[in-house]
Amino acid sequence: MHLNSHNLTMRKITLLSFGILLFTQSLFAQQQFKQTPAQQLIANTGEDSLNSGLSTHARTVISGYGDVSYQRDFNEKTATVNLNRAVLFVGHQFSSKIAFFSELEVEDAKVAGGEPGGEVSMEQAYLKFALNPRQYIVAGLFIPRIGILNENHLPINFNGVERPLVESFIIPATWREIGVGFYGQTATAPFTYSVALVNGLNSAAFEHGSGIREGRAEGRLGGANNLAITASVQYFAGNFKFQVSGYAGGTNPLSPRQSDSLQLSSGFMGTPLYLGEADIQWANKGFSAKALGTIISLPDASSVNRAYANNVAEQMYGAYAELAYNLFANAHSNRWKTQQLNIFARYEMFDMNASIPSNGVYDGTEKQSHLIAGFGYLPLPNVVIKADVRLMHTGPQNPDLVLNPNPSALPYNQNNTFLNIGIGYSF
Amino acid sequence: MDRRNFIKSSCGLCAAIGSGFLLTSILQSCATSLGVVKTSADNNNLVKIPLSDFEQSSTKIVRVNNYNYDLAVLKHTDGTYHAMVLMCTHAGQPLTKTGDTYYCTLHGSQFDKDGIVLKGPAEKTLIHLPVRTENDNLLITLVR
Repeated sequence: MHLNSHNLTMRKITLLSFGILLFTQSLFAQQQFKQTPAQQLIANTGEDSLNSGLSTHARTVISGYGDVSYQRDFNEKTATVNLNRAVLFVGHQFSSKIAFFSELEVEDAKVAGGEPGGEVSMEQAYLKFALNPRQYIVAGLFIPRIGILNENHLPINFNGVERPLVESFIIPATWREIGVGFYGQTATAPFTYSVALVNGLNSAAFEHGSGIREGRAEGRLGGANNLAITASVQYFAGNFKFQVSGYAGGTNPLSPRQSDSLQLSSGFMGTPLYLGEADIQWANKGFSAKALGTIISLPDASSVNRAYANNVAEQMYGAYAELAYNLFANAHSNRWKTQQLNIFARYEMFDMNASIPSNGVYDGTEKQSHLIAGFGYLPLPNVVIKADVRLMHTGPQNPDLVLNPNPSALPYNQNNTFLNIGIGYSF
Repeated sequence: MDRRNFIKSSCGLCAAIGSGFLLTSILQSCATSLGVVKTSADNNNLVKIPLSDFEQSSTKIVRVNNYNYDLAVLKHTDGTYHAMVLMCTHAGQPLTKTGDTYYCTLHGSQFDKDGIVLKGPAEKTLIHLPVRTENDNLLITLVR
C-alpha cells in the first residue's frame, strides 16, 4: 500500500515534468530567433559587450545567473522548494588593460533578521590587470581554479539540479578568498596555468559534517596570519581537457601567543591543510564524460580537535564520474540542433572521515555514495529545465555521536531517494 | 613555527613549484601546436597573412602585435575564409582553443569553430572581422 502510493506520486511528478518540458519546447519552437541585418551587424560588432581593447570607451556589463529547485525526500516524505541563488554580475572595463568583475549573491531568496537561512554575499569582487592577450593578474575576492565547479558553477553548465556533491562537501565550492592570482596560457600550446596567494582557512570554524566549508573566510574579516597557495594546470588535447590543481595553506589565523596556549602551530603555514585534485573531461558528437578525484589532508587534526573539540578528520576524499548524451546533438533540423536535451548519469562517492586522529570519533554517515540520473533540457544555451533522481547510501550511524536521542525518532536509514526538479538561467 | 619546520616547509614548497615547472615543460614538449602565426597590422589596421600558410592546416591562430586578443582564421572547404576575435562576448575574457571549439575559462562559455555559442553564459556569436584575398594574401581588417 505504502509502495503503491510512493509509485503513484513518482508517476504523477514524472508526468508533470514531461508535460512542462513539452509545453516549454513548443513555446520556444515558435520563437525562432531571427535577426534583422541591422541586429546582426550590432551583434557581430559586439557593440554592447564588455569589450576590452576593441574600443577605447569604458564599458559596464550587467549579467547574472540563478536557479530554483523542488526536492522530494522519500524517507521523510517531505518536499521543499527553494530559490537557491540569484546572482547579479557587474563588470566594468576601465581601460584596455584594467577591468573589474563582481558577483553579488542572494541565497535562499530572503534574509530576515533573527530568522535562520538566507545569505547575501559577494561571491567575487576583483580587479583584473591584463598583461598581454594570454596572461593576467587578479587581485581582490576571487574564486581560485580548484576542481571543475568552483570556477564554472553556472547552472546551465553542469548536469543535475544539485551541484556535484563531491564539489560541495569535499571541495567547498564556491570557494572564494581574498588574494592575488596570476593566470595565463602558453603562447603556442593549448595549455593554461594559474597560481594564487590567498588568505588561509580557519580550523576553529571547521564543523563535523561539513568538511572544511565553514573554515572559509569568503572575504569577511579573514585571518591573514596564515596564507595559502593554490595552483592549477590545464591541458586541452582534441576533445579532452585535463586539469590538476592543488591547495596548500595554514589553517590557524591566531597569534603565536594564542596558538601556543592552544598548542597549535602558527604562522604562514601553521596547522597546514593540503588539497589535491585532478579531473578529466571529454566531449564528442553529443557524448560527454567527466571524472574528478580529490583528497584533503589535515596532518594536525588531533591538535585541532584538542583545541576546539570539533571532531575533524585527518583525511577526506571524494570522486565522481559522469556520462551524458545530448539527444539533439546529431539532429538534422536546425530547429532541434540549437536546443539540447542532455540525459546523464553520475556516480559520486566521498568520505569526510577517511582517516581520523586518535581523539576523533568516526561517523559512518559521512561516508556516502550517490547515483544521480536525469535530464536537462536547454531550449537555448542560457536556460535550462532539469529533473533527476538521486539514490543515496551512507555508512551506519555511530550511536556515540547521537546526543540526547529523541525517543520517538525512527532508526537511521542508510538509504534514501530524492527527486529533484529545477530551472536555471544565466546571461 | 621553528626554524627546522620553516626550512622543511620552504623546501617542500620549492619542490612542489619545481615539479610544477617540470610538469609544464614535459607537457609543453608533447603539446599539440596551436598553429600560431605572429604578425603586425599596418597603419590601416590591415593584417596580411600568406594564403600558403593554410596549405597544411585550415585553422590558424593569428597573434597581432599590440592587439589585445588573438584571432582565429578558418579556411572553408569552398576556399573562403573567416576571421574571429577570440574574445568571449560575455565578459571580454580571452578564449582558449580546445580542439574544434573555443573555451572561456572565466565562466565556462564555449563557442564552435564558426563562433556560435555552444555553452552560455555568452549569448552572442564571436565577433567576425572583414576579410578579403589579394595577391595570394589574406587581408583581415581589425576592429579596435
